[in-house]
Amino acid sequence: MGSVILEAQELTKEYRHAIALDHINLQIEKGKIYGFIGRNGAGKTTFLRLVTGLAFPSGGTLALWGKTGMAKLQEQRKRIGCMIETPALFPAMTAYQNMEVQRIQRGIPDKAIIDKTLEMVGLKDTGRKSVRNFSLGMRQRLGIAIALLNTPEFLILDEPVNGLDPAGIVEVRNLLKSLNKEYGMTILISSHILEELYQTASEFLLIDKGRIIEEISEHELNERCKRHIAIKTADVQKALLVLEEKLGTDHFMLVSDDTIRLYDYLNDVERVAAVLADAHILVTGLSISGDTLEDYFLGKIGGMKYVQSPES
Amino acid sequence: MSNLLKAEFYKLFHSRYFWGIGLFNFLLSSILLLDSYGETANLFLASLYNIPLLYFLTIVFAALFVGNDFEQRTLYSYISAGQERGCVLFVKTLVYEIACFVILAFPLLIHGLAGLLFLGEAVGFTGPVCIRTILIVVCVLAMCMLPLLFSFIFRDIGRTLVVPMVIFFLMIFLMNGEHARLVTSLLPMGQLRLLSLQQPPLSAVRFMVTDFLWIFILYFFAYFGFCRSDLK
Repeated sequence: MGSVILEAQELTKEYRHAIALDHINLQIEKGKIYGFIGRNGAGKTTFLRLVTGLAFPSGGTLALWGKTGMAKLQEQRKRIGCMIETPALFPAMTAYQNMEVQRIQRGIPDKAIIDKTLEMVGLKDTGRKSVRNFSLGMRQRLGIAIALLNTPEFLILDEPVNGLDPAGIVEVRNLLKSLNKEYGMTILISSHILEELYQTASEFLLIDKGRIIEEISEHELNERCKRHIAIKTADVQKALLVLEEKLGTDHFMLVSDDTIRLYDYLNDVERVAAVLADAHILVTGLSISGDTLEDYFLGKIGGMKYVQSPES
Repeated sequence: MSNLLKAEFYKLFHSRYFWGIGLFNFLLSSILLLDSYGETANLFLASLYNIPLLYFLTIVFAALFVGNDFEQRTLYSYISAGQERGCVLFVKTLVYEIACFVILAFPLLIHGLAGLLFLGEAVGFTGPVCIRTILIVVCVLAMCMLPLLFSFIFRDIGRTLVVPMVIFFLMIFLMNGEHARLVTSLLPMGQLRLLSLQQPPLSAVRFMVTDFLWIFILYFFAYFGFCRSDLK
């Protein structure tokens, strides 16, 4: 139990006309990076708001570091750093002044932490520029800096790379990974940019219609989004026959756009190409690919109508 | 809580709204003296006479200092950082009330001093100065609680500005209506006007009890509006 940072049991949040969270059960373990995935309105932000104390649950229990109850939970929240939805900033103040307010209210004695954190997110040289003149990406960086100010044990970020340029996205990714590695910081990231999330997180929580539909590790995900050789040809039936007869495998699948997915011979693509060429089959495309986290997620929530279905 | 208090004072000190509204209030109050000086016994009371009229500036300040905190979600960052909601409300109320008092009382002090130094006027209160001063403080604090309540209920700038402003005009209307005497003695705004005009009979205890009741009731509603509800 010592390694469990957050535990939700039958956690429910009901609004007047809708159930935002429907009896959620989950555990967040120390030292891991969690990716929180769900459609708009799936309940991600509601869950994060319950964790950060902005909303009260309608039912179930929430424990942080094993502590439950309103007062104890609030005490434990001092160990959390977070940015929910948009960064909470004072527009008329500079980046430094924004950080100073947060430093004072958190009771952090060392003023040098402000410069150190601003440098970490690339905002050291903003000088006297007020936040109202910041770009969206700069505001986002400042929001992340505020979340990191107390070197939290548990970092919660809601759409952290929203508005960041490609270089900024990579910087934030590297920063989060290094914080996780150096300080053992547990991180929960909610994002719609699934490709980015895939590169950052080691565990994935899939939420839909207020329910956790799957908890899956990076390893398990890779297994399920199995890599394959994608073969594109006009003569599909003949190609399938050749694969069976010449390569002795039936570990393949035909998907809707006449692409064959071959799950064997991943390290011997040349041989596959040669066998097909010998059989005079015109191959228009041959590459190694795999399901993306996006495909997997859409498959899970039944959103496959937007992507090519392997079964169709 | 002391950290929260320090953070709020840091914000207040760096708030352009506070300094801007404070300065504007001083200028407006000084101009209004031209009118109110004839109605009262001296410059200090003339300045006190203007405070109910300048109440609208504290409404604007509440919208910008508290309402804006909700709109920018900066107040929520305190809660996410583990601060108790009750503490957040108390600290915000305290700093806001001090700020409002400074905004409204600064001209009073300057005008009083000007009257004393340049016109040779005394403070001119009937009764003990100390009690009258406390009465003015409590009246101002009670008066400024109304915009604060609405800022914690509506949690935005727009409605925090509009609703108290409507009530402000309604109060002025009532104070000039059929039951003016009763209404004036019940509303902190009216009490200030009575104090400035030194109209008898002024019961300090009754005034004080009424004002503390206002403060308690409005704070109570603000507490339940803020501490028991979900924040966006």
